[in-house]
This record gives sequence, C-alpha cells and structure tokens, in this order.
Amino acid sequence: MHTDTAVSYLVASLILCPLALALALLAAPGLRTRNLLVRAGALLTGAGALACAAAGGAGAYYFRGEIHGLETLFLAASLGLAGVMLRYAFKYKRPLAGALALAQAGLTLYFDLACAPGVAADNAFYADKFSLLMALVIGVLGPLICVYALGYMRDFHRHYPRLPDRRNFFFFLLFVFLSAMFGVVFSNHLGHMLFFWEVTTVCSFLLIGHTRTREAVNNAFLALNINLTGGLAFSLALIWLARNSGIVELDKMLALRGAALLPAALLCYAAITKAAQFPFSSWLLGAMVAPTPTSALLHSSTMVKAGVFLVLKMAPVIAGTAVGNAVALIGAGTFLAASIVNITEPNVKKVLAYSTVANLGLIVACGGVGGPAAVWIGLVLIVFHAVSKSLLFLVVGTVENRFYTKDMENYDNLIVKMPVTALLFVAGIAGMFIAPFGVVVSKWAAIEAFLKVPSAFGAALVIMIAYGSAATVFYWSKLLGKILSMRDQPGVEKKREATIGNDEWTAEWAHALLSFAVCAGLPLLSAWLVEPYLLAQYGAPGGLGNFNYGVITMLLFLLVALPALAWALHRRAAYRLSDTYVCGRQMDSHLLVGGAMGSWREITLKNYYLDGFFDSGAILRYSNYFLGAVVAFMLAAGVIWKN
Amino acid sequence: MEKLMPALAYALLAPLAGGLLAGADRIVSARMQRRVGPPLLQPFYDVAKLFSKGDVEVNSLQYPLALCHLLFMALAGALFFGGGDILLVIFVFTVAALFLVAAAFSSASPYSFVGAERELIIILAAEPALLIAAAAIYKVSGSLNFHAVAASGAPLIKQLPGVFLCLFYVLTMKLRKSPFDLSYSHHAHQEIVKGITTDLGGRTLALIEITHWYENILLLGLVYLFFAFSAPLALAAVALTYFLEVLADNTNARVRWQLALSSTWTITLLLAGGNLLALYALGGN
Amino acid sequence: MSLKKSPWLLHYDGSSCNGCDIEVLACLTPLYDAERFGVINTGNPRHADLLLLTGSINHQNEEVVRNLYAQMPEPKVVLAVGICATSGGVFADCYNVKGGADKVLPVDVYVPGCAARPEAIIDGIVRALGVLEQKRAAAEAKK
Repeated sequence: MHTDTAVSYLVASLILCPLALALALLAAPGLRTRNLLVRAGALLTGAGALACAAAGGAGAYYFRGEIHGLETLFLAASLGLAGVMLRYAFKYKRPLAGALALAQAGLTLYFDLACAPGVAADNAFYADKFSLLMALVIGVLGPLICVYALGYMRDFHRHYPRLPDRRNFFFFLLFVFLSAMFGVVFSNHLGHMLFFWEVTTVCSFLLIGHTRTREAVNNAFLALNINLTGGLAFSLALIWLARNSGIVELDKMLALRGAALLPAALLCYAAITKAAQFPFSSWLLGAMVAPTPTSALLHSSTMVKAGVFLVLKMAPVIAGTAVGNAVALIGAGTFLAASIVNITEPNVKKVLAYSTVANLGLIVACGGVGGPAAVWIGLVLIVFHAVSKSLLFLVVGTVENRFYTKDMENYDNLIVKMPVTALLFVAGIAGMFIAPFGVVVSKWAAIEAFLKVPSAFGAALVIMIAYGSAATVFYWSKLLGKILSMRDQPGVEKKREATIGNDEWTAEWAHALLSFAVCAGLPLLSAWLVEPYLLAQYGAPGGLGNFNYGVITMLLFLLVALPALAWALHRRAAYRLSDTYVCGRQMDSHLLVGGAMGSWREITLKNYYLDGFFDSGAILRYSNYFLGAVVAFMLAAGVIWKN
Repeated sequence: MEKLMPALAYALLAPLAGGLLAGADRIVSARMQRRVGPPLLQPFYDVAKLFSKGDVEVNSLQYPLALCHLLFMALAGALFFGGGDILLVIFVFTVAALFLVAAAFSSASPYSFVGAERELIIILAAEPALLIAAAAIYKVSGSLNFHAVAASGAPLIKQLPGVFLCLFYVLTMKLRKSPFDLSYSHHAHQEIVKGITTDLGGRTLALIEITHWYENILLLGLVYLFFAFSAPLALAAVALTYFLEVLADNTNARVRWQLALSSTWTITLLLAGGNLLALYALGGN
Repeated sequence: MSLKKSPWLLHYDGSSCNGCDIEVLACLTPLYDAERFGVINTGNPRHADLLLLTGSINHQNEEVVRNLYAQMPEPKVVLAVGICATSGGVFADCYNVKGGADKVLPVDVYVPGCAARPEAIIDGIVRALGVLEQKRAAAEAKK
C-alpha cells in the first residue's frame, strides 16, 4: 500500500474546502458575495474532484491521517451534531427524534470512550477507484446544482415573498453536504464515516425543512427519524466490530469476509434506510416539499448515493449469504413495486422520486448479488442515474418556477412554450429509459448478470426486473408524450424562457452534455475507474465487452443523428398544415371544440394512470410489509448465518 | 462481414417479405370470411399510393418522428439478424415503438392521444414477456446472439415450451391482431377512427406501414429461433404461427385493455416465468 | 397507376335514412367484396382518397363535411351516393336541409338510387378513380 502525498492533500482539501466555503457563505454579507462564493466554490470543488481522480492513478491509497486531536475533534463534532438534533426535536416537540438523537449520542460516546481507545487504527482515510468515482459524481454534479440553486432560489423567494429568506443558511447546508459526502466516500475509519453519515442525515433534515411550513417540518422529521435508525444500526455495527474483532476500519472489515456478516447486515440496514428502499422510502417522497435543488442534490450526487455506496462496499462480505440474498430481494422488490406505483403518480416530482427509489433498488440488488458483473452495473448505474436524474430535477425546477405546477397534466405543449427546456427535459427522460443510455444498459447487464447466479433466485430477480422495466417504459413515455404534445397555433403563449438566468442554463446544459458524454465514454469510464476497482476486489473486471460498447456508441450516435437528420430534412419539405381530427369539428389552440347548436366545449386530454387497475395504496402497503419482513430476516440472518 | 451481411439482407429484404406477408394475410383473412380479397401485392400498391399523396400534417414533429420509427425498427431488426444481443434488440425495438407513440402524442387529437396511451399499455403488457423470453433463451443456449443460438443446435422449443406459448400470446399484440389490436387495427370494424394513426396520413402513414413490415419479420425471427435446429421445421413453424395469429384475428373481437394487460401479465408469469424457474428445478444447466 | 389500385374511402353519413349506409357496407361483404379492388373503408379523412357522402347536407353538418374534406390529402374526389346526397331527395324542402352534397363540396361522381345499389356504388367508386387520376395528372401538369 502506497501513501501518495498529492492524493492525500487532494482528499483532505475535498473534504475541507467545501466546509470552509460553507462557513464563509454563512457569513456572506450580500447577494453579490454569495453568488461569487458559490460560483468560485463550485469551480474549486469540481476542479478538486477532477484533479483527485486524475491523480489517483494506480491502485488504492491509504492515509494514516495522524493529526493530533483528530479523534477528539470528531467526538466533539458528533456531540455538537446531536445537540443540533436535540435542539430541533425540543423546539418542535418531537420526542421520538429526540430519543433517537440521544441514543445515537450515547452510542457514540460509548464507542469513543469505551471501545475505540483499545483498538489500533492504521489508516483513517483512503482513496480507491470506487471512492474516486463517487468523488467525481459528488464533485461535478453537486457544484453544478449549487450554481443552479442561485437562480432557482432567487425565483423561488420572488414567488413566495412571505417565506423568510434564509438563503445563506441554505447554501451553507449545500456545501456542508458536499463536504460530508466526500468524507463518507474517503473515510476508512468507520467511526469517521459514521460521523459524516450523520452529517448528511442532519443536512438533509435541515434542507427538507427549509421552508418551515408544517408539511416541511413533518417530512423533515420523518427523514430524520428513519435515517437516525440507520445511524443507530451503523453505531451498533461499529461497536460490534470494535469489541468482537478489534477492528474499526473498512478495509479490515471487508477482509474478514463472512466473519463480519452481522456488522455488514447492520450496515446494509443503514444503507437501505439512506437509499430509501422499501419499506423506508417514505422519507424521500416526503422530501419533495423542499426547494427543487435540494431534491436534485439528494437524488443524484449525495444522500441516497451514500446508501448504495455502502451496499456496494459490503458486496464482498454479503454475496452468496442469506444476508446478500435478502438485500438483493429488497432491491429488486423495491425496483418492481416503485416502478408500478409510479404509473399511478401524476406529480412530476414524485415520479422522479419513485424512479430514484426504483433505480437505487436495482443498484442495491446488484450489491446483494455481488460478484464483478453485478457490482460493475451498480457502479456505472450510480453515475448514469446521478447525471440524468439531476438534469431532470433541474429542468422540472425551471418549469415549476414558471408555471407553478407539479402536475404532469399541465406539462403539455411544453415543446412550444419552452422549446429549449423541453429538449433538455427529453434528454433527461431519454437518459432514464431509452436505449442505449446507461440506465437501460444497466438493466440489460443486470438480467445477464443475475442469470449467472447458480440458483433459481437469480431467475426470480430477472422476472422482477422484467416487470419493473416494462412499468418504467410506461410512466416515462407518458410524461414524454405530454411534453411533446404540440399545439403550435397562434394564441399559444411562448417566450417563457427569456427569464431563465445563465446559472440555470449553465447547469442544465452541462448536465445534458454530461449525460451524453458518460454514455459515449462508458468504455473509457469503465476502464479508468470501474474495472480496476473490480479487478482489485474480485480479480475480474466485469463490463460488457468491446462489441457491446461499440454497439452502444453506434446507437447513441444514431439516436442523436437520425432524429436530427429527419428534422432537418423535414424543415425543407413543403407540406400543408391542417387541424387535428376531432370528428370533423373545429378545434382551436385552447382545445375548444365546436359542438352542437353553436356551443364550444373544452377537451381535456389526461394521461392514463391505470389507477383502477393498479391500486398503488395496496401495492405500497403490501410491499412495505413484505420487504419489512425481508429486512427483519436480513438482520436475523446476520446473527444466525455461519459460513 | 458475416455480421454485416444478414443485417444488410434484413434491411433490404424485410420490407419485401413483410409486404408479401401482409398481402398474404389479407388474402387469407378474406378467404376466412369467404371473400376473394385483394391481390397479393395490394400492400405495395397502398404504400406507393400513400407516398404519392399530397402532404397534410398536423404539426412539424410527426413526420420526423415517424421516420425515426422506421429507421429504429430497421435498426433493431438489423441488430437482431446481425447477431446483436437480443436483450439490446428488445430495448431498441421499444425505442422504435416509442417514436410512434410520440408522433401520436404530438397531435392534440383525442383519438390519437387515446391511441398513444393504448399503445403504451401494449408495450407495458408485452415487455415482460419479451425480456423473460430473452433471458430464458440465454439461460438455455448460453448466448443471446441469433446466429450463435441457431448454430448451437439447441432445440429451444423442447426446453422452453411455456416461454414459446407466452410469446405466441404476446405476438398477437405486437402483430396488431385481435383480440389485442388495442391501439391500431387494420380492420375498419374495430375502430371508431384509426387509433394511434388518426392524425398520421400520406407518406407519414406509408412509413408506418413499412415499419410494420419490418417489425413483423423481426418478431417472426424470434419465433424462428425456437425451432432453429432445423431450418425447414422452423419455417413451417413460423408459417403456422402466423396463420394461427390470422385465425385469432378473424375469430375474436377486441378485448378491453384491462383484460389484455392482466391476462398477459398472468400468462407471462405462469408460463414464461414458470418455465424459466423450472429450468433450475430440472437442473438442465 | 398506383392511385387506381388502392382507393381508401371515408364514408360520411349526412342525414340519411341509413338505407344507403347499409348498402355501402354491403359492398364490403362477401357477395360484393369491394376489397378485391383494394377498397378500404378507413373512417379517417387523413387516410382517405374518396369522400363518400350519403344523405343530404343540413346546416349542422355543413361545417363538418367541409372540415373533413379539408383534412383529406390531395388528390381527392367526392362521391354523392343516393338521391339525398345528390339533390336532397325527398328532404330537399325541409327547413333544415340545404340540399345535395354539391351545395358545399365539388362533387365528382353522382350515384343515384334510393337506396343506391351496391353494384352502382362500386361502379361509382371505379369511375371516381378515373377522376382521381385526372386530378393528379392535372396537378402534375401544373407543376
């Protein structure tokens, strides 16, 4: 194991720089300073992540992180964090959250005072290819979202003038969040990772409650409670490891393999709560009350991605055990149930949220199955999902700030009202379910990977993925159809895009280009970061093979070129425009149709939600029961299972 | 090169074969109704006429989208016969179908809109069966390449009878045959207007007809695969399958979408899913 | 020649007694089998080459007929089938009836009868195809 000073400094600066910026933002005196700080901070963080990934050439780096008083600092910060939670629990009279925070503080104290001192920790931090991949996702997408938030929050507060303007605090939280995420992916000392883990919990709690309306506060506490139970499980895993195995580090724990099954099961529990898998998904759905940049951040580069990161890290320990199978079942079950429920969902932000839950389910399933082929999918899906989902949230936020609606039914004619935004929207949706974009590639690879599982369990997972995948096509297509439904007649309102600022455009276009770049560059990305990691972990690289990469690249090229060509050819063609067909009646641009006796009737075109067919309430309830039982089984298996 | 030739052959010949198949379909249908029916080449006359008609469109998106529908369907088939991964072929096939759905959505006509939604229901109903079929083929033959599966000599039909029956059921939807021709039918008696193609006419409709020929040949290629160990048998099976689909078309009325969706999902789970799981129980591999 | 071999028609019933409509459908039955000539009853103006009108034109359906005709792609022909569509028939003097189809559209072929016989309708369609060809030739000459 090498220690490379350059990488260690970069890792340290990735954790510390956003933190410093956050503190500066808290004190920023005015709008211009804040804008400047956010833009500069975004640039710096992005550059740092890129430099870190570039510098992290070969192998994994482990750093001792021997700084005098570091442990004390972490302990003090943990207690401070508990203090923050307790303060809010007290203020809003939430005894459950208070009790959980207290329990968490107690366990932390117990660990730090009674367990940790007797255990030798060699390397506090590390950087392997997986953490570098995560750092890229966090460090490139996160800052873009922060920049976007500048424009969004301006419009947001303009529209809700009665809300207190706490934007400095908002941006403070965004950057603290990024810092904590870097901490999670670079910590080898599990105690440190737990601290950063708890910081992300608190940050998301505060971000969800940003508007301090009753709904926001309720949902913020829901998120806090669920994630705190995960934090408790994390603490228990930590204490078990320190007491039974004399270990506090991630790499040593992974080296234990099957002997660390119980802590791995506990960590998987923590990860599943954070990744909003059923039965814990409600907090992520509730998080939709927050301003949209928060959602973009929670869903793409931070928070939920910490959950799937941990599951994929646990893969070598749990693969092939009852715990691993339970995790895979939770993931696949979540993918299936969330996808079907999403068919009945008219709220666009919730559609995006369920889709996140479903995609994370696929990643979790891959982590549970384990092995190079499945983990390869998990890693690339993290990247693909982050880029496309973030793009979608940014675009939805922009539309929301113009039309003040979240209902899918109000999105029709967007291609005429906001053509560029609609195009970006289509790019985002395409990224989520159109071949050859990454999410579809992942499903494709997942089906083949799961079939390699020797038991029929693999086939059962494939069947669940097949059904979920069909549902995915349905709910994205109807949203796509709404956006593309076109009435380009005079009298339709246009030019709503002039009010979109440069910050928003920059972030959205960067995302759109990235979504194509990561797809076209999949072989490079895979060879650079994903395959070396898998080779080191499993001795096999995973991946799809050169022929398939070639096909994917060709398809991507055609997917852009053919519609563009068709469009260009058609622009030159001469054709006669005619009215749409409404039984020979006249229809005007506002969907008014001439009826009998000179009357005019309005036509409303509503999507199919199949809600008489799929009872989403029952599906949610029963899948929560079932997967809750599987979670209990997973924990029990962690106790009982012996290799 | 050996990958390119079959792909190229498909791209060039599939419209020919698909058009003749459509012509034969119409004659056989007519005979089942004790009519004489149109000439064998009627589908070609129709498409030639549609191309020669003046261009009337509802908006500027429809024609490009229909053209992409055609191109991506041809691409899916070329990938299939060129030895591409069958799962990928299914995903590209879906993309092609979505271009048609988008073209229908882009018109604000209620008929077109409902047609688009119904087409989506068909995709929703059929997709699991197609994916599980591909998975089962992979499980049995260890490959998802058309030529490798065909060359392996594995009698897929023997090991995957349930999957084949399920595929037959779903084929009725994809070939737009009754009782599952929910979004578009070739028969006037099924339609209030013309479902998904309500606002697509002239050369736009011509493109969609040609796409349908491509689509049919691709789907029958999937049927072929199950009998690929013997080419004459496979061709006979393809012909018989298509004949049975035409028979179903002429002896059934359209069902409601609820029944179409629930029956397909159930049959897929029982026949295709059960067959896939049974492979493990029987310990074939 | 291709136009001739693939006449797709749109049948619109103005305000007839349905006698002619039944005869139009009879054309598609095994006895007459109009599909022998490639005839398809499309029910959609965008797909149609022939607009086949039965019944008289009244104030209510005047606009509908105009719209349907406008939505058909060129070249196109109009058939007035049955006496009501050709002149208004016995309804010609009704307060709500304008008269035959030629009051609002350029009718190319008149098929008489009450109701029009299927043979006559098929003959009318075949004649209409000739008009269709002439129209296309005229349009091409204009170019």
